[in-house]
Amino acid sequence: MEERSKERSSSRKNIYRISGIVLAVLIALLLPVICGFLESGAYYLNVINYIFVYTIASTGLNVMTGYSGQINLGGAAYFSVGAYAVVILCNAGVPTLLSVVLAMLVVAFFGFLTAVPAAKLKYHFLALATTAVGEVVNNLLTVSPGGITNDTHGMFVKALVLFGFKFKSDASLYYLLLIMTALCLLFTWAFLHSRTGRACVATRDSVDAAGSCGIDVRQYKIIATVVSCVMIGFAGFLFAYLNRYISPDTFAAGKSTMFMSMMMLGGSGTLFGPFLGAVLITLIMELLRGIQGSGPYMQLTYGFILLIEMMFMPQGVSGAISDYKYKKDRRRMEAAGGDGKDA
Amino acid sequence: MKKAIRFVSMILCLVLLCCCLSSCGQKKEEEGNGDGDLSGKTLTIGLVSSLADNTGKLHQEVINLFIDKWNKEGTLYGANVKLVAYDNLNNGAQDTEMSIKCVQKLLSSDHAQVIIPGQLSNIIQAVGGLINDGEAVGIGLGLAPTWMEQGWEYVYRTALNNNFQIPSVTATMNSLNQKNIAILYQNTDNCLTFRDSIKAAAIEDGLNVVAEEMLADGSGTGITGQITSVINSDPDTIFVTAMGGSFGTVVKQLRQSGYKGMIYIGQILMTTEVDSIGDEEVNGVIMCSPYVSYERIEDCNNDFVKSCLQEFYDKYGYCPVDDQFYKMWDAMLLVQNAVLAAKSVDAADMQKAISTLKFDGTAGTMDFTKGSNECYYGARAWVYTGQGVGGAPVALEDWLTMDVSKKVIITKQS
Amino acid sequence: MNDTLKLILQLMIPGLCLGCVYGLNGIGAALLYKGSHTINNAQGAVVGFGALLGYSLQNRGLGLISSTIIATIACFFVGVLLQVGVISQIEKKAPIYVVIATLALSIVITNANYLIVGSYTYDSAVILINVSKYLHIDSVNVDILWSNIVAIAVSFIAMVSVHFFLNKTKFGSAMRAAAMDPFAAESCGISVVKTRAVTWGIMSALGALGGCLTGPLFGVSAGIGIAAGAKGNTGAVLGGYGNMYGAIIGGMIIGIVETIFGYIYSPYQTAFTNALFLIFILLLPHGIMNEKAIEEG
Repeated sequence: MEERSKERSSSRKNIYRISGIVLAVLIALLLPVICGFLESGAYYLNVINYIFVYTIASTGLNVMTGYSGQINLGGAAYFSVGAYAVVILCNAGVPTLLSVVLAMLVVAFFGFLTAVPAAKLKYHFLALATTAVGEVVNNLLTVSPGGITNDTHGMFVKALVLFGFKFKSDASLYYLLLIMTALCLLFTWAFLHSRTGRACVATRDSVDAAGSCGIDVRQYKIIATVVSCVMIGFAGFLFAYLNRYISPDTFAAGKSTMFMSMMMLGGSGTLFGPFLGAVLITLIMELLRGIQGSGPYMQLTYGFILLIEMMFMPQGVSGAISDYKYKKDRRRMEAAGGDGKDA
Repeated sequence: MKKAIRFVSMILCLVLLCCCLSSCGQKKEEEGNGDGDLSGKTLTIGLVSSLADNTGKLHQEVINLFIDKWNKEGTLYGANVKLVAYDNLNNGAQDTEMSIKCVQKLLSSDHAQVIIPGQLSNIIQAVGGLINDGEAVGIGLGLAPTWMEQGWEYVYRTALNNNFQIPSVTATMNSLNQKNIAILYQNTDNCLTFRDSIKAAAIEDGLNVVAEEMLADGSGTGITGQITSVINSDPDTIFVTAMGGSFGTVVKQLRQSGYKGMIYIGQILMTTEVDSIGDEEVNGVIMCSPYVSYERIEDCNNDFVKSCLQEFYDKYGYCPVDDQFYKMWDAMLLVQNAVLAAKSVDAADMQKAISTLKFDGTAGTMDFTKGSNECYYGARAWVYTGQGVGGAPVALEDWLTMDVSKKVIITKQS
Repeated sequence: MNDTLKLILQLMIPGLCLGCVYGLNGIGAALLYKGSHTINNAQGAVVGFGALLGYSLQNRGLGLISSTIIATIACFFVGVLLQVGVISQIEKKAPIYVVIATLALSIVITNANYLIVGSYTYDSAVILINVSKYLHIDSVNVDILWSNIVAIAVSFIAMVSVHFFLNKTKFGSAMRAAAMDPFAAESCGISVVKTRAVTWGIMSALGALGGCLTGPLFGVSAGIGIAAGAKGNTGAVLGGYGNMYGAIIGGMIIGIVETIFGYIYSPYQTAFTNALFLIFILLLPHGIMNEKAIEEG
């Protein structure tokens, strides 16, 4: 009798889940249409597009920081290299798809270049070193050799053309970004469940234990860094075509902090944490922007959110939620008496 | 995994809810009552600036001054005018990405007919295309020629293009027999184009550029090396182009390093900067500008400017320290005249009307009839004397007759 | 010959002056790392706060010397408050969070500075000795700003007093003991909470002192300390992270090298300085003093 009711409740749960997923997918697919009916739909769609880009970037950061345990405060460097490399190659007449591939190779090489010496640094110094990487790259963008980045004048970006289709409207970009975000999340999931991914997580949890299991810690740290850099660089490429204008000030140190704060606020080391963080931070900022007279306090609020988050829930929102659930479960088990202890 | 997916759907619903909620509050604009009467219509002026700092505050104050006046007196055929201001400050600097988001919001959410994207040229460059495509009247306060070269029909400038300032700079140098010039520049869009144009103009007019050095942006970084290098190249005069607000530091450091010649600056000094440099040291700082800033209204001897300053002073109780005041004042005059001429608050009508406009602004006649979207075409040379409180600058001819000019080495060749 | 000497003086003295300010910030970074194995990204914001406080006290009619002293002491307590109120809460969970928390603090303090004083650059009083701003050296015909010389001298005094405080006083010894082994120190009756708070206090006070000293040279603005704070860390890495004396030497080297870079080829000045930092932290992590804080593993 009891088992049957359990079964029934779990099958009901499954129905809820499936209908939830279907609803989510439906909403995600129809969002541009819905936005078309809204008064400020174009603006909302634009904001959602930025959320997708930042989700990809902070998911990339999550691979390095959340899963492999190496802090990176220079995310903007890889972001900018990805953006600039694609735009420069495209302007030189290289086909878009090829230039994206080439640009990702550039980012990967660049990531490798910094990962090799950085893999032996402890986290505080890794924080310092990655900050410096971010600074150096930003400096080189402003005074580039031969002026290839057009220095502080910035570069205009033409509309993205892929397979003969021109991604000019926000709606078309939305679908592109939606697919790319889904693919990136899927890739991250697959990566984490691969042998390499598991090894990376093991190095985060305990370097010594991982080493004693025969894992080459340094090698996996480098792999995680390169994968992470490529994902951030890919987000940079999408950003360039979304923003349609890139200049060095967009890739300043503040951007690295933003990626970090998105990842931390959502919950580092969780698959959907970065997405959650990107949504929360972008929404909070945009809602604040909507309140007249709040302008001067926007940055202050952003700082405070980050500070309070670090003080009271460093595991992020998803960490706090699972913490709450865990406590609730335990309370229920305790209330049930001896039953809970066995389970 | 499934838990997470449920989470995502929840978030998406939340986003949707937010979208719906915020769109509920908005009303559709009412139709006007026929030609020449715009009562019931709304003119929305959008401002994108760093609202936390003094520049943004000044921008808002000038716009609000005009809006209050218009709404009270019904100047714009009874149209209701409102200001929507968004902040684009991101980690202590105005950021192009933030500005793009602000302009998107202004266009699609607030339906602003007039958008003023602040005073930084790289930001105007970044958002100009959006404003043009969104068919709103954009008024840039930046000085760089770059964004005007994009051919955006809807984007105007109510300040002096650097390229129109340069001929007066080189002419002044030639008239003072200053043949060897050194250039100090900051690494911004505006300053780089200014440096390139001045180098080209200098070669054309027979001047030598003996040294050029880049200044690190951000205070607290050593610029002594650059300044020593420039001074050691033994120039007749030094030309400085930097962001508004950082001239003070550069001039101060030049004087502290023992430079006694004239210093050309690309923009006017704020009165606070004049104070921070000090009276003795500001003497001999020269600039080519349509206007200058005053610490007291009495120092000003142009009646039009004086009345503008007085109006501002009556409302806010202080005298603006910055040339942003004049640029924004001119922008507001442009809006006023455009609406009056077009008899409409529609951006497309205003855009058509502007090309026929010619009216008085803070720096003389603002002439939009030349089809270049520019209004001012010339500047005159002003020199700071460093005498008296505030040290309002005087015209070059007057300065040359004063005693203080003898303390400055004008040219090394004579 | 005289020209070369003149050039060296022209470049070295301002460079050394900047270097001393970086060194002051570097001492803080070194002490903090020794004491609690964290780094502080908010140092630059505190420097700006101190400089602004000094300026506003001058505006209230206080002299340069008294306003500098008051601002320094006030920032000592600001540092203590930050440690007790914010950092100690986070340190308990994991030191890694301190890195990001101090970044957040930096955003908060800098923006609060902007909100309170605005974005203008203000003038600080200039240091005059014998009614002159300059020290004139006849033999090479060069003018050197007293502000530079005084800044160097005051920084040296501050560095020496920190050295004596750590080595000759009881509390200083306690601080060193707590830095070496917190658990052992705790069992000997040393309050680690107190020593860490004082470490933050000293760090902030030194930063504020540096900010007040650069005021007469650059003018005072809300963002004045950002570069100085970051370069304090750079100097500390150059000298060997965690070594106080190394941080001083490293800071001075950064100050001088930066000025010389500016003289040689200015467009790459900032990039060169940052690249120097990168080279040291990646390839020579033990620094000049061969301090092995940046361990492998």
